[in-house]
Parts: sequence; structure tokens; C-alpha cells
Amino acid sequence: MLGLALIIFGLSYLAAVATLLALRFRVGMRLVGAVPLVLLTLMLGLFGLYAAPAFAKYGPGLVVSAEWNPPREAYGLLPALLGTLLTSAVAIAIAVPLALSAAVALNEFLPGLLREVVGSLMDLTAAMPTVIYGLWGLFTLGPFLQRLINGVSSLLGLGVRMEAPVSLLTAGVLLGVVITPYIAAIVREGYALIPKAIEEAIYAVGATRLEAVLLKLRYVRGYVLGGLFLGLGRAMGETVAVAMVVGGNYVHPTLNLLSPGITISSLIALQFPESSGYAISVLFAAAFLLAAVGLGLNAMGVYLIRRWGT
Amino acid sequence: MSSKNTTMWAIIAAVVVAAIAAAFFAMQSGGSSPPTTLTQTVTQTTVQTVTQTVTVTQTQSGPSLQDLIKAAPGGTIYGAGATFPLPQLQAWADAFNKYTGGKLSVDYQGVGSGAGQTNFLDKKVDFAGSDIPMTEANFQKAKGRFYQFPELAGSIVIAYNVPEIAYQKTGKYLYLTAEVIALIYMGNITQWCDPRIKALNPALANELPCKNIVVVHRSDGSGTTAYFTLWLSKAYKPWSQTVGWGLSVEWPVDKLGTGRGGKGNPGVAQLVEQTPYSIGYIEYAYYALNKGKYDGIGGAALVRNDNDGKFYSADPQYVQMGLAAGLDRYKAKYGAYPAPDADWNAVIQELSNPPTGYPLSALTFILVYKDYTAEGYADAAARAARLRAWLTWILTEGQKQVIEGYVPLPPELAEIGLKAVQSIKP
Repeated sequence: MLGLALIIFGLSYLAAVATLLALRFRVGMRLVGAVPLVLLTLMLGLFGLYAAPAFAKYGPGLVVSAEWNPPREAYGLLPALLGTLLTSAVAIAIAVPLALSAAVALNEFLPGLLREVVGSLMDLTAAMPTVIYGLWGLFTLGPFLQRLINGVSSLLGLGVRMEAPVSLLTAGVLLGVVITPYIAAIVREGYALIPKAIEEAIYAVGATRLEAVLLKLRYVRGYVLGGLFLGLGRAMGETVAVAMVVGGNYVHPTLNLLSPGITISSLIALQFPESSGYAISVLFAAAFLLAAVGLGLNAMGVYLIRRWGT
Repeated sequence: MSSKNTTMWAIIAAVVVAAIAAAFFAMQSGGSSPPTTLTQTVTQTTVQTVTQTVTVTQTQSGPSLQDLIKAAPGGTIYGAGATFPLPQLQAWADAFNKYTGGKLSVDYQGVGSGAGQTNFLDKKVDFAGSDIPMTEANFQKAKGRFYQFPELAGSIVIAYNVPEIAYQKTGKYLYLTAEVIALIYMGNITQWCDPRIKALNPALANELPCKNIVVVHRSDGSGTTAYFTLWLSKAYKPWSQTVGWGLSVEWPVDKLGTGRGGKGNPGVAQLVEQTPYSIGYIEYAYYALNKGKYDGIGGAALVRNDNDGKFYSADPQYVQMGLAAGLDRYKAKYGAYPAPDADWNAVIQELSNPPTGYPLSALTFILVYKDYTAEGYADAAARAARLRAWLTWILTEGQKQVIEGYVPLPPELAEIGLKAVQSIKP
């Protein structure tokens, strides 16, 4: 088996290297650069191809209606779309302040050795399988949020507002925790690259520590934005962890964070294995939709970074 | 481009072609090497003791299990499909491997019933597991070319979390009917103190709290949902008109925003355990493991069989009773037991909501081809021989080694599979 893998990977790698060597450098580099673009186009094309029967059958209703009824083959993806946007928004709202404070604390306040240790620990949390986060969400975070929300709402005389530990809010908070190390890693990178001269200049004009931190964060705002959009993509694409805590309600479009819902990615993860007929095509349409929304948001990100970053 | 470059291109193309060819060749030759027979001497004694019981249970027709195993060339049997029977199939695969002295092994991947059926139709596996019979569309594709038969049964329990009436506190389980359960899942009964629940449970009437019911269902597609909704469809007509049945359905409580979905049996079990005033349906296997926990917070409902009017627990004996009664009803209606190459969607309709016994049972199926040569499998004779040995073992010996939480098939149901297995060709 190992020999087989070596043959397949080794030879194709050699072939690729030989191709690049045979070509002129500029052409070769352009070819390499074009590969991701071609792959992305092919992927989108494939999603579109598989999704075509669903789009043909349901039309735009697929995106604006709320149905998931395999026995009657009626489908609508509105709750999944709303759920994706809601949970990602909550995740970003929680993760960005957390990540910024983590990055600042690491670079400004922690002494050298501790900084290394805590930094690697944070990077390690980014590498944890998300199903672990999902279990934690189901066993610990969900019940905790439920007690917290119900405690507060009872104090305010509103009664029990969160009836079960699974909800869009649980998923959003969980995602926030999942993506924090990603954003923090990028902000930290940028923060560490601030030239010594600039740092000295900031202190030379008599800035307090807080003012210095704010100025430095402003200096690395491109990194902050980049981290934010990477985190957003990560949050929108998360499947298993979200599937475990989001509540799996496919048919009730809602803006209420305390009610159960679904996201596009978790819908695909939950439904794909046992789907047949139009459901498969609808799930590809959902993937297409997610890719489109992701591309849109990232285009916005690139625009913002151009306009406002650096 | 210069001629030097053209030569270079030719070399590259040749290398790539050679690599692909080598890879294919390696896959052809190295794909299925038979397992070694190292454990033969170790397991000799167990084999002999078991042989005696086998000869007793073997039916007169057809060759004995020992002959079938002897006739099968050593190797691996590949299967994929349903996850519900996965723990049992793994236990069986282990026991079967020991039983054959390591000569035959089984590789079963739990990829889901839908994917199992697709893999089977694409001939990527020797057999498939599926919680529901071949779907209408798939059945038409392979009609008359394959067998399907149940290899294992299970049951679904209605678990609830109502601390006020927990079994440990009151010594009583809730009595529920299909109608009440359907109305809960339709959002018509919203509170535990609903008069329709009280009427069924006069002894608990004063303790039932006026709290909203949190309704829990599976959020992934699953055979458990299929059998649960099939039972509701059969036992409560309005359910079949509004919701229907399937691996996933559109839950009316979800439309109202009050339903909650859990991922897999563990997800639903966890949600019910954690959420006071919740109700959910789970496989008996998951309930059996945590019975003590459920008794502390609530329990598992006794469900009424609407045909004989009695309340039953999900105890394996009542499940078997229900399946046997359902099979008899099928025989009375169609004149014979179902044939293994028939469309079993009609059969499970009769097995669900049976005349007597626990009404909420589940089956899981094996799909095999009738003739592996005709289907174009490589090494067809060896595959068929291995399958005959493995499936015969499952339906005889295996039924005695059912792990906790599952239910062995009633003998008449196992017999259907045995007949099919004996006629697998070549």
C-alpha cells in the first residue's frame, strides 16, 4: 500500500516539477498561480451542475422559502441561510474582541517564555478537531447558556426564554470560541511585525500604554480585517460542531437567537448521508449558495482591506 | 517553443502515463489479499463446541454451516451501509472471524443506509446494510436481480424527562398512545398537564406539571425516524395525511419553532437527559445503556398497541411478539410470507403497528445480489461462497449472539433470509 502511495504521489510530483522546469519561469509561475483559480472554478461549476435540477424545479423559491419535506420533495433553504448569517455574526462579535485582547495580551504584557508557551497553546487550540468543541458545546456550553439566559430573564420577570440547551445562540457562541485562535494568530503576526521605530515614535510623543495599544492596532488593521474574514469563512463552513448544538430545525426561519435553527454547512453534514432524489441536488444547491455568499463576503473583505487597511 | 521543449513534453507525458499505469496495476494486484490463517489452531476448541449447537439448529434443507465455510475460499467480505446495526455487525464480524478460524473476515463500513444502497447498486461492495428496504426508485433499478431480508430487529422507546413524575420517585412509567405522541409531535398537545395525557395516567394526574413540552427529534436522516414516523402514520391517520413517513420528515413542531433536533441517537438521548420537560424517541440500545439515568429524571413510556388495547414496554420479548404478529398479518393478507426479492416497502407496512405486542419496532436489512457472475463481479464464485457462509452464520449462530439493546429476529423472519442466502449464485 505504501509503495502504491509513493508511486502515485512521488511520480506525479516529479512530473509536475519536470513540467515547471521545462517551462520558462514566468510562464511556470503563472501556471502555478492559475491552479487554485481553476480548481475553484471547477468546484463551483460542479456544484452548479449538480444543483441545476434543484434550481430548475424550485426556482428562486429554493432560497426564499422554508421547507424540508423529503416525503413530499418540498425544499427551501431560507432557515439555513439565515442561520448561517446569524451564527457567523454572533461568532464574529464574540471572537474579534477575544482575539484582539489575546493578541495584545500576548505581545504586550506576557514575559518572553510565558508568551511562547501561551502562544503555542493558542495555536494548538486552532488545531483541535471541532467535534471535541461540539461535545463540549452539547455537554457544557449549552446547559450553561441555558441557565444563564433563563436566570437573567427570570430576574427581569420574563420567565423561561431558552427551553433547551441547543439553539442558534449556542452554535454562535461555540463558533466564536472555535475561530478565536485563528483570528488571534493573524493579528499576533501583524502585531509582532510593527517596526521598532514606529513603536518608539508612539512612546516618544508621550502616549499612554492604552493609547499605544490602540495606535498599534490601528497600524495593523489590515491584519485584523484579514483575520476577521478568515474567521468568518471558518465559522460559515463549520459542520459537525454546529450540527451537534444548533437544534436541527430546518423549517422555521427566525431571527430569534434562542430558538433552534440550522446552518447551510450543518444541513449538508446532517442530511447528505441519507438523502436521495432531489434532496441531493438541493444540498448541492445549498453548497453553491454557501460558496456564493462566502465569495461575496470575501470580495467585501478584500475591498475593505484595500480601502481601509494599510 | 523550441524542439527541445517538445521533447521534454513528450518525456513528461510518458512519465505521467507510466505512473498512472503502474498505479492501476498495483491496485489490481494488491487490492484484496486474503487474510492469513494464523489463528486456526488457537480457536479450534471453540469451533468444535459451537458446531454441536449448529447441527441442532440447522434446517434440513441446504448444506450445513460447516460445509459452507469449508467451501468458501479465504478472504474478506466487503459491506457498507446503515449505521444502526454497526455495533452488532462489528461484534458479529469478530465472532465470525474467530468461528472460521480466521479464514473469513468481514469489512463493514457504516456510511448510512442511502449511501449503502447506492454503493450496492454501483457494485462497490459485496453486500449492503440498510435500515429501510430498497427505496421505490432503487428497487426499480435492480428489480429481480437482488434479495433483501432483515438480519436484525430493534425497538424504539419514547423517553421523557419530567422530574416530577420520575420513575424513581413515583414507581410508575407514563402510559402513552400513538395519538397522544402524534399530537405532541404535531404541536397540538403542548403541556404535560394536558387532559389527554392525564386521562391515560390517572395515577399521575396530580403530579403532571403544567410545563411546556420540549419535543426532541433526530436532525439527521435516520432509520429510527423512518420507523417512528411509519408507526405514527399507521396508528394515527391524520399523521399520514399531514406528515407522512421517511428518513427525515417535516416536523409540525419545527414549523411552530418549538421542536429541537439532536444529531444521531446519542444527540437525542443527551438532549432529553439535559432538558427538563422534554420527550424524544431513541433506539432501545441507547436507552438500555442509560436506564438508571432515565429512571432518575423520567423514564421510557409504556406504549399502547391500539389493535389489542394493551400497553407494552420495549422489552425484547414484546418486540419479537409484535414482529411475529405483523408477519402473520402479512401472511393472512397476501397468502404467503414475503419473498426476499419482493418490494419490502409493502412488508414493513404490515410489520409496523402489529395486531399485538410492542408496536414500535425497527428492522434493518441486508441487500445481496442473486447472481454475482451475472452482475459482473470479479471472482464471483469466491464472493458468493463467502457471502453464503457469512450470511448463513448471521441468521443462525449470529442470532444467538445479539448484543444488548438489539432484538434477535423471530425464527420465521430469519427463515426468509436463510432461503434467499442459500440461492445466491454462482
